[in-house]
Amino acid sequence: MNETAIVNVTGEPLLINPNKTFADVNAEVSAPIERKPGRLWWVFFSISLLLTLQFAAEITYQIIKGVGIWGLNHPVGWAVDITSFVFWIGIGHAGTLISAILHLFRQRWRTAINRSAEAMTIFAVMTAGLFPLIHTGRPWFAYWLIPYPNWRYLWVNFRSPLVWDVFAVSTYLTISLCFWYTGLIPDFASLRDRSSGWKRGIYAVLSMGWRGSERHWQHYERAYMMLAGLSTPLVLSVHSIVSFDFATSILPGWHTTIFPPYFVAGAIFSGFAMVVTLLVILRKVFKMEEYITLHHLENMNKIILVTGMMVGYAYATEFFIALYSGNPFERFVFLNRAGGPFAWSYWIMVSCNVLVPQVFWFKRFRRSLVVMFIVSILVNVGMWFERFTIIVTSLHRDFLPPNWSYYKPTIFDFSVIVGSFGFFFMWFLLFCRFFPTISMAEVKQVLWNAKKTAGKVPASATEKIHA
Amino acid sequence: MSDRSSKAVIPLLIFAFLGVGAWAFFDTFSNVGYAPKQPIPFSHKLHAGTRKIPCLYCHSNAERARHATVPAMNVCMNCHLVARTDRPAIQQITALYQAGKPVEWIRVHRLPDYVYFSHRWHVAKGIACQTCHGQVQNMDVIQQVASLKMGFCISCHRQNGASQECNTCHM
Amino acid sequence: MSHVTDRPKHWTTLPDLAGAPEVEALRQREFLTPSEEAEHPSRRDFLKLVGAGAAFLAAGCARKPVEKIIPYVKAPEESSPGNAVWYASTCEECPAACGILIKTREGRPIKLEGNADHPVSRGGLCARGQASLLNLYDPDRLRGPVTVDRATGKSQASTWGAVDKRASVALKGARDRGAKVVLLTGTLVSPTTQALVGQFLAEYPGSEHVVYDAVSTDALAKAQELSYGARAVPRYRFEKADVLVTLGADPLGTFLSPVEFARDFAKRRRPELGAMSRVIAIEPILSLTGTNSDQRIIARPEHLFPIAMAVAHELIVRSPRAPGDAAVVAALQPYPAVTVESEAGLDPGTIAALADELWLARGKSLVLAGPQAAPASQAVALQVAANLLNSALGNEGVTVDGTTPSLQAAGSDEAMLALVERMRAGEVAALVVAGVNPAYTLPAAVGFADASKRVPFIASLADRVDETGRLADLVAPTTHYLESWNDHEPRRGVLSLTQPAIAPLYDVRSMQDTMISWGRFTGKGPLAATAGTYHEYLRERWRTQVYPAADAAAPFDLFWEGSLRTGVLASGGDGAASPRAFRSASLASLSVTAKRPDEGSVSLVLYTPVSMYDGRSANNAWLQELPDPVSKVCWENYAAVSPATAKRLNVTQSVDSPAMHGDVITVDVGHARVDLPVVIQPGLHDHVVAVAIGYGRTAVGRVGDKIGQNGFALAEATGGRVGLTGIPARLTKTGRRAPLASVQGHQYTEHRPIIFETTFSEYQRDPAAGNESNGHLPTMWTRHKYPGHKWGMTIDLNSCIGCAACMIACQAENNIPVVGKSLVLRGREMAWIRIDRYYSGEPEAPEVVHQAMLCQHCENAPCETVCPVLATVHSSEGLNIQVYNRCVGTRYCSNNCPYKVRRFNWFDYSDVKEKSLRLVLNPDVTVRTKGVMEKCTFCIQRIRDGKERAKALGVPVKDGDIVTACQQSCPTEAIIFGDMNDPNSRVAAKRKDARGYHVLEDLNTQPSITYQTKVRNREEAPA
Repeated sequence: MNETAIVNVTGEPLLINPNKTFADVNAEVSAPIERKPGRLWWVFFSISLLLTLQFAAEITYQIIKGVGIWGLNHPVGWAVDITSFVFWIGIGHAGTLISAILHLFRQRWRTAINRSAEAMTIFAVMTAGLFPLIHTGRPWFAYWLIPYPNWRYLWVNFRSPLVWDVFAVSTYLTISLCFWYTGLIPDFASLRDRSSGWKRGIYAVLSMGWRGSERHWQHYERAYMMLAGLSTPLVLSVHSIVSFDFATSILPGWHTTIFPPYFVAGAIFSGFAMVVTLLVILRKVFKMEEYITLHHLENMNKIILVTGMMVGYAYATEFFIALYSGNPFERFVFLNRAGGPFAWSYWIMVSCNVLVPQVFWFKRFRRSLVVMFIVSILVNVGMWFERFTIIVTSLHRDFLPPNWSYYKPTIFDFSVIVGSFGFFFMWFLLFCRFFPTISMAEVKQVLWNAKKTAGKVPASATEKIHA
Repeated sequence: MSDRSSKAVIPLLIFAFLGVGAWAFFDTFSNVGYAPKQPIPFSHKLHAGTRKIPCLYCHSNAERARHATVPAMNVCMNCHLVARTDRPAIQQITALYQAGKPVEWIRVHRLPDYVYFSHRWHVAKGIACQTCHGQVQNMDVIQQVASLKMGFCISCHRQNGASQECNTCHM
Repeated sequence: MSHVTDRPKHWTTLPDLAGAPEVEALRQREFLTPSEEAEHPSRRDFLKLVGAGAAFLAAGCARKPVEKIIPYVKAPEESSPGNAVWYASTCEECPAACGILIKTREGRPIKLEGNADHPVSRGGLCARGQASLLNLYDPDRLRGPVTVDRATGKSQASTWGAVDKRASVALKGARDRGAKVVLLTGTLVSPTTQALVGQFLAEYPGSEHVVYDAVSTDALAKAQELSYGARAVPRYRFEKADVLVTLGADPLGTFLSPVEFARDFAKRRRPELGAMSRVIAIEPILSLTGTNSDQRIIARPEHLFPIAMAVAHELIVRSPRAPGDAAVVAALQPYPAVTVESEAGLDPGTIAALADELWLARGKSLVLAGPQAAPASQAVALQVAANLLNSALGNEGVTVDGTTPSLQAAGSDEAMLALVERMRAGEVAALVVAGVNPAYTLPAAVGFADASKRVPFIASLADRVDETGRLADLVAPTTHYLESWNDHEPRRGVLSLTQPAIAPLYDVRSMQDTMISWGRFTGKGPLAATAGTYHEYLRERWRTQVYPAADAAAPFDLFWEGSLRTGVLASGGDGAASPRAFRSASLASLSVTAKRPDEGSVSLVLYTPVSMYDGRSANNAWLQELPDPVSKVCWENYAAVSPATAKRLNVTQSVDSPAMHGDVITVDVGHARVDLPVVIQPGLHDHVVAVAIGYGRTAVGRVGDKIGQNGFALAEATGGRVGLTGIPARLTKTGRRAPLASVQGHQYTEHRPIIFETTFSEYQRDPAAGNESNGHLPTMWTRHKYPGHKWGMTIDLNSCIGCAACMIACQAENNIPVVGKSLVLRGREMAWIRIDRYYSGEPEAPEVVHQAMLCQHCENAPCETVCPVLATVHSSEGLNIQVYNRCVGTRYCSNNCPYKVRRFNWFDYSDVKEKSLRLVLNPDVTVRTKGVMEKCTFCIQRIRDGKERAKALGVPVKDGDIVTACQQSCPTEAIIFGDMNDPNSRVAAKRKDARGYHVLEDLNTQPSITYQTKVRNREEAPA
């Protein structure tokens, strides 16, 4: 269909073509699951599977040999590991934001994208979770970070931000998972009814006996609303807590009060960018243009623009405060960031996160698939380097000059970076194959409204939505 | 059918629970009851029980140093040059002694290397050997009765108001 | 009781369990008929049994492999497993012969410590002395005698019988032909060994004993002979010197007796005593002494002699104050200050000022010239000039004591070079080399290797087939000094004993025992009579010689026991020295070809590094990984040049990584050339390139082979003397770059509150001068309470000379692993205590501060709050504890440590392949495994030991009962440890001192370590 969206009386574009029937929705959304995967899917999947396998190999080797295989040194105790952790947690933010907050604010345009966004969240958090685990010197004892009654009569150190992380991240994963799954139940039911044989069996189990009765819908709506309410604070809390890893330390460049809001903004920023990246591919590969319209993407880009500017503001603030504070250590760290041996990383961060998104001031760029695709990728490059800059430049030149050093990544550092992307995309691609990437149930509600506004309410208004 | 299938999760949960339970069980009680066959059938029941030889007569190092130590063979010989020389075991140990070869006992009680435990101060405080080693005087074959895990040490230290600082045992 | 349960041993382990029939039977048949239940075990028993089976199965898993306990067969009296046994002995790593105490556990030496009762070393012990312990367990030591194929240098295992036979044939043959037998050794500090050598050589008429030291004091001794009539090395009394002027000498680093000198030196560097010595270093390179001087005059080696003469000229000729006869005046004529200053490029007036300072401190000053500081042609002249100054200033007999001379150096270059000539001439029939390695240490130009081909028989008495051993016919392996008997007389009247702390690990024999058995070959002569071992020989000599002299009341056996217990026997001691008359003829006799260096050329200075000395312990990984106190580079020697020279050569050195990268340059002295990475060294003379000797060995072992380049190869031998300095060299850039294992990333404090310093005059006005510690920002929290002990430490920056003894002491005490060059390059070194070296002022002539940096045991420790698993916590006695077995290795603590004194086990360093190296481990300190953080514990095991010793005696812990390893080894007593809650403790007093401050105090970490400001004895304010 032509990209100029149909508008309703108020001039607001409809989120979906009102000429569609509910059956169309089911058919078109389930299509990718029911038909054999295309060549493109196989290409993507085998690449990410390969990356995942080498990731697994790296981890095995590292556990046998020791963390020393990374480029870390004294004083740079963290680098790629924690950088990637924060990065992936950040990515995870968009999902909750879109599904929970936009849901509470009744932003109907979310319906087409929330499913994939939530899936992305889950996989991103899964990926992120790997890093705190493998970055430890003795991963096989990492379970000591969990407070559980044990025969050593020992607890964890509740003052340590790393312990807060454990709580924050695990909570976040659990809630997101429930939220996502709840949303999926009606669609699983539809899939169950469309499929046959063993597939039918599986979807039957997954749909937990959904029959679409009024009571089901009431409970469903209530549960969904409740979970949305629960997960909303998480959007703010999780990355605030992650930022405490740095903010509560005494290291110049880490010990910064603006970190929580700064990190949350950054997280949403990178999260949305990742969603855009994924959706642009998704709608192309699975021919979802009619559901994930440019209108959706444009809204996303607007948010990217806003959060990008928030992040830019944060950069400016912390730099200004450092210089203004008169604290020689702070001052040095920031001058060292901008002009020291890691200046390249600092300027990658600034240009990708602050300058690049400015193109979204222009409507035609906001609506151009090519532009938004490139921008969204650059943004995530920038956001990765933001964390890298914060972590490494603060560590490599801290209080006592004799400790000053440099950080050189080894092949294994690169291996975990690409590995984590492989791991993430592997799950996402599997999701696209076997789960409905768009919430059929919710789209149907939107469609119903669209039909109403377009005056195209079919003769039999009693048509079952859940055919 | 869907309702039935939804029950499929329950067995999973049970397995998970059992797994955790088993782990906790072994984590707690491993090594307790370890009673290997020793190269010489030495009976504490006979020596410490019937004959009432004080523990510190043979394990004299326990009041002098960290390690209680298995006594040097000349300590055995103090008596067994004359006592029970008809017994095959005694002849066996005498032969080794004269050949200048030690008996290779199999270790029963073992603390990890990162644990500092000094018999000396526990003996000095008057803690009975049995507190950790069990009723040795009734054992024909020595076996481990206490878990000797951190919790075991801690609880005793708590009861007796002894130090519970990390560096009491780890340094 | 059922018959199953009364045989518990049946199912202790898996195989037993499998073999237990009734278990199996019951396993098969779950349900038993009632009748069966009657006689067979009841169901309950059965269940018990299965349950127990499961438990033992677990036990079996938990206990593989089964461990053995192996008791003593006969328990040794003195040792009780778990308690340390100490032996007093003497360090033989170098001829300084410091007194040591050997700590043994279960019969293994695990630590060496200075013997406080020893009059020479008085409690300290240098880095090399500490590290010599590791040589005992060196896996590359010879396990038994070997024969060597001279052609290939390949060695082949042999037996003592065969080796002795071969030696006897050769030696007897030589004797019967009346041919020359030569014994070549280093300085023998042992009177008994000297006596033995005398008797050994007496067996072989016409034989000769050549004494040779690679790091030679020959010029010094020679000059003493010329000036005062007797060839000897005087005893230098630094504690009596108000003004110390060194001419290229490094008494704090490597000259003669560093521990002794450092201790005396430090005595005069305590501003709180109201007076402070003034130290002026005239030197071409930045030596350790130079870094501790108040004023440095940078001069080329060729100019040291003229400068010394010019100073004398000032004192005796220009403004005559000091006595000097015509001969002296005549000799001084060519050296007026102005000309020398212009030649040497010194500021006008420098020499006059120097002369005035010396004159003001006459009788209380000391001029000390390095025996190898000047070019070979001037070496003796420089020494004579120094003698002249000391005599003219009336220091002779006060700070220079010829009456009780040092016996720590007797080597003669002349004799050595002459020997090589005679070898080349084929006059030497048999050569026995013991304890020296001329094939490595002699200048390549001398051609020892070729000369050795003309010697029919060469035997090497060494602990390995070294460079010289490869030229020999056989190597008779020697014991480590911890395995052998000996005595020493480092200074006349001071006798100290060496006693074995462990039986020889391998089939080896002390050098003396070998000499005894070889001495017996002839069947006649003194040694033929001596039956026993060197132990008996030594004891006998003490009974006949030492005991009567000591006129002890006790019978000899008790006397001997006592001497072994104290390890030292000081007779006479510090008697007043009598001044010797200076022979002005000695000046005339100098034929100084004072060669004027052309400004274009660069002169090479081959200096003796603190860690490697002359390379004798190059296979010692502790020393290889010990960074140079000045350059902070380890595992390497390098070509040090000044910043200006670097600019001229257009070479650079990046510090933008854990590894410094330096351009590689070629140092070409004509007869030899080496390629070395460049280190840009502030404070170096612009026309000097400095290269360390002791590296580049080829036959020392797996650790030390091919580390760096051999500096000796560049040395020159002229006028019967080996010259290590002032060798004209040409430097060219190769274009290659090489990494340098540097442990310090940045060299300046960047005006951070780390180092506070002042001048002595300022200090006298206000003791708190320069101490800018302004406390910390106000805090909401109350201080922690420490009811009992509160351990703390003070480090006096004024006493710390940066000698790095503490680093090795800590390494030995705390089982700190060596990581090797590749990992040091990646910033992974493990030192718990390191010494940060800061420069200040301009790079051409920097001032230096050494700061020992270790865990500060902060009261508000940033590391403790961030550890997720409570692996690092605070003790009730103020210790910051690291619990290795709890650590999961997040490294968060290290990231949050402002001092970055925590070290992480990136790999499994505990898994030492060579079994022998495991014997050196201290059983009281946990060996850390892969993936855990570690750091200084304030020697918590020593704290416990001290408390337990007090507890056993039922007395409270006294100040000084507990001494950390670093404190123990410190020759200058810069480190003091103790209980801060004890008002009478030294540490408490020091903390109150006005000079006390905390590093980075404004962070409010409340460290338990207090540093004390550096006080420089010079007028102008700090640069």
